Amino acid sequence: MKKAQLQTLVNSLIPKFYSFAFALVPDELQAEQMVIDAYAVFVVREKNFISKFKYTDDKKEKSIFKKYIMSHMINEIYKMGVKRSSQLRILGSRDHGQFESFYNLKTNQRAVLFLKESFNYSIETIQDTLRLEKYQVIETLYNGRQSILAVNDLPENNSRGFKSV
Amino acid sequence: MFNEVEDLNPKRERIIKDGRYLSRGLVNAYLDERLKPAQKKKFEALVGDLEELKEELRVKSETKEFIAELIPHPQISKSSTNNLKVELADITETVIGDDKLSVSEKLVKFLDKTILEF
Repeated sequence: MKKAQLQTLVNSLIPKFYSFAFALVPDELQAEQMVIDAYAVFVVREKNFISKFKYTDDKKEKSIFKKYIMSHMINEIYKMGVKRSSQLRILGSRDHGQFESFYNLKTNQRAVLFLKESFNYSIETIQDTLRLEKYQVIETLYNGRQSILAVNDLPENNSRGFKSV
Repeated sequence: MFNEVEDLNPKRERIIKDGRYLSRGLVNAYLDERLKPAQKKKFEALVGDLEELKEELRVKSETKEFIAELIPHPQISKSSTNNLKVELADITETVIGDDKLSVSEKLVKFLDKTILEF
């Protein structure tokens, strides 16, 4: 695979990398830095594979490689986010408006909820990407949703006690 | 292997009609779109004309939508995008770039470097 091809593909994914990083560590500079660090780890570790990968114009191949990059990058950003969000302690220092309850969740809950709701990932894809067991993904998703519901009032026509989601 | 839909604890199941059973896990799996097409079809056939269950599904679905609205979708600024493009290109160049050079190209690159400047 040529450098230019890799760069074009990576550039198209920058908004996704950044939005996931920001969901874990809501600070512009920190989110940028996490994307840079995750990419450095990814390229160094997967250098041989990237160099040997025969990248053609085939849509299927492009899609496979895109998924491969996404999976590695999201996993790296996740691992960094878990460590850095607790080290930086910046989560409580900003006003996040309607998203306050989301940013008050544990980092792993934010990661799973974000991938499910924002990226529309299936449980299986989240499981593969974050290297978790299926029950862990479902449990984290459930607990995250319950924590959000605990501090936000449901609309009036939706309060018949079916809060379990 | 654990099958979340079929192996759910039967104690959590309840009779909904004529001896038919439905678990909360199955309802959640349906709402999360975790059911396979055949399972989904079976589930929908099971719910059928049961108004109470339809209502519960509606409320649960709305609750999920309500939660989804509380999940942010951070947008990247133009300056951050440009900055990241430069930084990531630099990493690609540093890590992968040199491997693509032939010996002569490496030599030219080395000789082209300024070691001492007067």
